[in-house]
Amino acid sequence: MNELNTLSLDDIAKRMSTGEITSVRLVEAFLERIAETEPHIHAYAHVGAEQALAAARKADAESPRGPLHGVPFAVKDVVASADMPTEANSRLLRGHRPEKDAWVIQKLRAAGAILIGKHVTHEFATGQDEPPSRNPWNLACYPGGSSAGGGASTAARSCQFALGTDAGGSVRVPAAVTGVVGLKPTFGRIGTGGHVRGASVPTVGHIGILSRRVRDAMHVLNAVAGEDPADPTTWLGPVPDYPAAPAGSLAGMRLGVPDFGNFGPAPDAPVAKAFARALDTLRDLGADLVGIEIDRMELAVPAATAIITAEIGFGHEDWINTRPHLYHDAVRQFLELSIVSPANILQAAYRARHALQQSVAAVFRRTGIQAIVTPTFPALAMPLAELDAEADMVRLIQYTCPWSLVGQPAISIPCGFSEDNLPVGLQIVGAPLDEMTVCRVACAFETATDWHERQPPL
Amino acid sequence: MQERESEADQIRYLLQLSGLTVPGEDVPILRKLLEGHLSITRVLLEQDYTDCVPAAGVRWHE
Repeated sequence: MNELNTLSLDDIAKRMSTGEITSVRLVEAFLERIAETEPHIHAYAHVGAEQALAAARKADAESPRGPLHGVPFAVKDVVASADMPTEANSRLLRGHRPEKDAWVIQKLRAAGAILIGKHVTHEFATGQDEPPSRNPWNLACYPGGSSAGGGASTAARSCQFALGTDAGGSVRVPAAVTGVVGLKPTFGRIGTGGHVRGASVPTVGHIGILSRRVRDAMHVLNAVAGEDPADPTTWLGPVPDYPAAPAGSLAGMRLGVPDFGNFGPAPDAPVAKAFARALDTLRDLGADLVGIEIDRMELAVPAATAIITAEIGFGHEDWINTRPHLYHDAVRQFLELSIVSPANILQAAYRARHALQQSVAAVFRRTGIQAIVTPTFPALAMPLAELDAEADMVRLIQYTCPWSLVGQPAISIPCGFSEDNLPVGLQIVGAPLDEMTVCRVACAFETATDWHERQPPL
Repeated sequence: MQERESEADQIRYLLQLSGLTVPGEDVPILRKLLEGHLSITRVLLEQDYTDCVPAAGVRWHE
């Protein structure tokens, strides 16, 4: 692996400004890394080498536009791209070429970033991917999903950063089990215009960011946050300058630590151990840790399940009727379930979501906390051969789906490793629109630890 | 017992309505999935939602 694959966005911008590196050299380094790692991790659905190199030559001829200038990134293959196929890992969309880029890709290109490829997703961001992406820390293990390629590729240093989608944890879970950063901002902070048909869950779907460092995610958020004309739920107000978040001490900050019982089954022992150490680190940084209980949290998984199940089916009706054989069986069956799922349950789920929003807001007000910390994922990456996505679903999303459901910002950062060298993620959840505090806590933790520096044996 | 029969009736009715099967014919996998779905989400129908808004979207930033 080349050193260029390991730099931060700040380092890249600095070296480009002095002429030490060029965008072409950077893109070449990532293309080389892709060639080196893809036979093992299968993280890319498409690689646009020619387009990326042409964009890099153009970037090198321009004045730098900012920290993303000339930097290669990749996007989950449910997000439309005009110069590469967008197939959502579905035979129904084989060869599909959208007419224009999704909003987020337009924003990143405007900031000078270069789309190098599309990451493998579970079929229509549900079900499974076949052949599966692999976890670079242990190729036999689950890399998370449904942004399966995004986590694996970011961890393997085969992209500088990635965009994924997250309706129940699909950015944060891959981040946790592959040892990278996964940021899901507030609902409406990043526009979702440009999702392909059939891969969208409109009231819980978010665009999220995968990167190796928190500050990289903050730079990307700066570029993509703000009003999307195609998405009426996007926030119209000003976007803060996230990288300007105060660094260092967390003195005086109050962080809520929920009882594990609030979220269902307790985490496995290696996760609980790493989480306990993470709390010690946050305490050492000056944070006050406050035990909290959130009323109605037991409704989160049922409500998220009901909403995702009901909303994912839209756009599939005629495909289900005319070309059912082009789906993998499990995906088609889930979409059929979507079509028959009762409307009264969806209505109850929408009300339950509002009830939970009120409960969480009440805890923030009553206790004076500025963020909540939990494990991101209750287990280590399990062997792919043992994964039963349907049976394991509740456990897979128990810590992450509440925050997609209520729309609050949340980040996963590496907070430890098991004895057999598998990563553990720490989740930090903020108040609505307060990505700044989430990133501030995450940055402080990252600066005080070196988990993010570890590299997978690949 | 009454409740279980009622849920079974609901499942049968939903499967028929879906057009994915025909009256009187069973679809074992979809039936199993629907039973599982209703089992996970049943708790949602047992709550008191006074003062809760049936919002279709989340907008924190009014």
